[in-house]
Amino acid sequence: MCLAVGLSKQPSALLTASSLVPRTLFYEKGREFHLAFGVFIIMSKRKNPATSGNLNHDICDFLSELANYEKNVNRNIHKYNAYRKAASAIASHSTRLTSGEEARKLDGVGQKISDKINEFLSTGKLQKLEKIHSDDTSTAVTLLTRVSGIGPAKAKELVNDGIRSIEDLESHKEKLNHHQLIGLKYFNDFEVKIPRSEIEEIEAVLVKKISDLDSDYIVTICGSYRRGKSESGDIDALITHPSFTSDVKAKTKSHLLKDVTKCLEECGLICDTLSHGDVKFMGACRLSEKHPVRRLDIRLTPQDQYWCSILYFTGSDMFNKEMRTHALQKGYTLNEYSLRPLGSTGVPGEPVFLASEKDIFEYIDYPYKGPDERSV
Amino acid sequence: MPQAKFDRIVSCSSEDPAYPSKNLLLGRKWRSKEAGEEKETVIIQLSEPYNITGIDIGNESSAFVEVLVSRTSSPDDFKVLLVMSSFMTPMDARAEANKNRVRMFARDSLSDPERKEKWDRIKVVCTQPFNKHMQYGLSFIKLHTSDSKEEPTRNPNTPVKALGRFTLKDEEESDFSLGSFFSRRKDLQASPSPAPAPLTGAAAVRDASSPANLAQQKPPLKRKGSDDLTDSQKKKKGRPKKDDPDTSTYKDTNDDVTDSQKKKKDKPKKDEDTEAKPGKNKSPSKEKPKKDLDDSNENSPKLNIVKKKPVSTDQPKHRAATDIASTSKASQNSQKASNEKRSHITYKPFAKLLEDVEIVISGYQNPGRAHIRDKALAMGSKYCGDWRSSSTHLICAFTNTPKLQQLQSQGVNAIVVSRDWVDDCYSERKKLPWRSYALLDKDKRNSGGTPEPEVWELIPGMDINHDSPLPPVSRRNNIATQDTRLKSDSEDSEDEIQRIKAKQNMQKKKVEERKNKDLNGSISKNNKRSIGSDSSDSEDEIKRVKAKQDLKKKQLDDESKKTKDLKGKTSDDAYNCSTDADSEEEAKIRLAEWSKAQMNKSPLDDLPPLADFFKDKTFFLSTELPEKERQSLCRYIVAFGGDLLESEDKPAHFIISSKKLKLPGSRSVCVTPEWVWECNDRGRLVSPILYELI
Repeated sequence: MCLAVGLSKQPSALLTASSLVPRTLFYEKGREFHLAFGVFIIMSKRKNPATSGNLNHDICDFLSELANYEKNVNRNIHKYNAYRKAASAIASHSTRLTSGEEARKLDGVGQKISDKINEFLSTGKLQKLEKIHSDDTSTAVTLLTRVSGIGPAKAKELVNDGIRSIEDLESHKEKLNHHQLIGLKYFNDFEVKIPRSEIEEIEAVLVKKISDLDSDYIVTICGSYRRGKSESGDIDALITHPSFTSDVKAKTKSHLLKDVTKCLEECGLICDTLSHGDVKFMGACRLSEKHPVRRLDIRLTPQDQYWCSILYFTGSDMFNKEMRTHALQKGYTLNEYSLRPLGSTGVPGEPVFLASEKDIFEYIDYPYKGPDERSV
Repeated sequence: MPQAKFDRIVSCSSEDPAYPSKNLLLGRKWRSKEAGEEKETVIIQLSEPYNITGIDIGNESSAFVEVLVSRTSSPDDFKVLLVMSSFMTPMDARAEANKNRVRMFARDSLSDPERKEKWDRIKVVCTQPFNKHMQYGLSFIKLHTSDSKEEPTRNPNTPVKALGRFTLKDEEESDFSLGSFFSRRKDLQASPSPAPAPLTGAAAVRDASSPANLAQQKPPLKRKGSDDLTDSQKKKKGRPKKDDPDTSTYKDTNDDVTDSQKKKKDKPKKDEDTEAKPGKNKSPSKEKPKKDLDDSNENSPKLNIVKKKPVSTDQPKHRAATDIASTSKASQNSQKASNEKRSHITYKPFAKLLEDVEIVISGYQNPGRAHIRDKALAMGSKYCGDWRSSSTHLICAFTNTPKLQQLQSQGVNAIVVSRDWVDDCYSERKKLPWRSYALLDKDKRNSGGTPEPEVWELIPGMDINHDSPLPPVSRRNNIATQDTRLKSDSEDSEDEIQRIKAKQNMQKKKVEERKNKDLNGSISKNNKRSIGSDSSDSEDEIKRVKAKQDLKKKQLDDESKKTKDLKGKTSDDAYNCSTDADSEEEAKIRLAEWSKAQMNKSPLDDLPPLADFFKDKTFFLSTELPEKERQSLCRYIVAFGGDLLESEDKPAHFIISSKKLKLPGSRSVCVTPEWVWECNDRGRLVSPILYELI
């Protein structure tokens, strides 16, 4: 099970998701935090309810932590992927592993990981992990990457400059850009999961305000919320407008998104903007003063790509991977923009016309699964 | 754009013996032998390397079609020219619906480096993964190329304008200058028997979906072109007169208003187009009341009609031809037109008139059967006792003969005609369009559509290179009345009824729409609209005549008033108002103009049958349009062959609305009603881009 399959065009998509690790929106930039073991466990419990029935969750946890260490500190995306792949395979294993050799039979588990599993099973801990935990630099980097807008590179740079904690950041705001400043401002809020009921309320406001603005907009909140999860890491709204199609330059239609965000700012839902482009808004919103500030993304997609986008942003990542693999077997290529048949020489054809999400399943002859059945 | 010529089929994955791959070379259907194959391919060798700049594909049950290219030097190195393109959705495929979609790919939709290079081999890959119980393949494939010796001006720099799945024909010049028709005529005679041109554009679309498709390729009949012929001719004759103050009855009196004069010049021209036509095709009997009423009036249309016959038959053409030679524009136009015309009529010796026809006779008994066969054979037709794949025409006595039923059950698109077709071809010594003899209602209904090429007898000694290639008078008249006969033959056909309905409505509609229209717009635009003013409606005629009587009384008094009106109105639309929808005075003015036009009108003008450029397209009228407008739209669309959908459940090709409808994912093009009027104006499908609601 390769995490990269089908997602390779979206580097950011590689960064987070697995069935194991925090089930944030998988395309969202990773914000796993593994500062100390204790923290990690809290995080992992909170963020990963799906693995509660996992008999090997302790193994998965340490593999995930190693994965994030590789990503954030060593910035080695391949090792990160390897650990995640192994973790995901072990998570779906139905029995408790008793040895590294047994794990080795699983897809994605090789010699070195099986050695680590052996070590973990016999000693209860991992030398390498201990070392990481005792290394100030690694822990500091991992901490800083929890701030929205700070990635491994920026975190390393900050650590090299002597910044090791959130408090240090507060006193060196000049080193941060706009996005990172807001990430810092709402550091605590952003780490809190959003209960489903709150997203429902936010959705109602969004839909109301946007349709008041122009009834032609179509708004859908995707992500784990759409999959029926009880809580989510952030809110991802997908909007489309009939006048915006893929053959129209996004620049000429940028007002479509601007109008929406302006309207939501006026009504007080959006309280901060992280970034705002022609088709993507990233920011922060809050339902009221009593509620924590939440991460809100709004994406404007061309109408003809709407269904592929919805499918993609609803996830889960593993489900998408499965879908794409299946599509390839059936001679199609699927991404967040379109579904295209592959020609006899492998050249993708023109995007097929889709009138619903279901059409995608129909084309690739895949049994239809409702959003709540996609939390693979 | 010229088309690439196919040389031969190199190979194909499989073929149905009834629809072999070599059919593709002739623009006909190719189908796989078995249903359920993963993919079907056919490789076609082109006659020479071409730079392919456009591809038209008619589908036959395939879900996706891909076109690859290669060169003979490295025949297996296929490059993708047209990526896998969708022709049927899974739903279509399962329901076996929309199996014959036609898509036209312009240069822009072809892969980049490949479309710039020359290739002499193409490979078409079809797949149908959604329905394993259908044989699939192609209805036709045409390659447009930029390699043109004859038409160096139209090269890849002018890509085909595509509008959704339709490729638009190039805009024709709507401004035809004096007498261009006649000079075209001359050109036509210069090259009497050209090879029938392959179908292009909308004609191909029509053809692909036409049931009577087994026949040879039909030359594209550019309806618009032929209308313009008559139009320009009228102008030619009408204009000098109008410009001449001595002959202009009312101009004299208003010479103080130069402005209005200028406008008037335009106005009569258009007026004439719409008004003149009703008179043109009138049968003598219908003309009678008028004759009685005003035979004293010199300007009376009746006089024109009387004149018409002699003028039409012989002399006018050559005289006109010399006239036009003076304007350079005319000659340009004429060349174009002659090309069109040429594809329309060809000349062959009598014994070869039907050389590309193979008849099968059904339901006739001897000795009639023998007569039919003898006549057909005399004209070069082949005969076969039973239907086979090379057969083209079924000469059939009635609609439920065993042979016909068998063909219908097999889905064979035979041309089914009565024996009269053979008899008339024989007696008139030319290959007549078969539709007016069609036995089946569905064929008759198409009669407004693509007229077929006519093949006239090549009379030995006939000087086709000069100006006398016209067949004897009797034949000419026959041709001239062809359309009329078509109509009267199917008097009660739907087509006819629609035409009349549309006409009544059109006249009202014209008034409104004209207001939004720019006067500078194409002069010929009114042609199409006037189609509606069908000659068979005598009510109109009577009204007009009555109005004329009034006019005679009041003419002088009204002169000044009229000018005022004109001044105020010419810029919009006074001219095309129909008599019944107008004020009395306007009617009179028009009447006067019309009569003049009639005087000058050439007899060759024939009322063309209704165009059917909306054929095979579906329309949905938004409920928010005013009821009145909906009705008129409904009539127009139906009149031009479009299908109206009652609900939005089924995706229509076009949604006519005043406001963009929210149909996420819908493929429909949402356009304003203006687009329909524009199509009507131009007499063809125009790009909806300008009218699209965004």
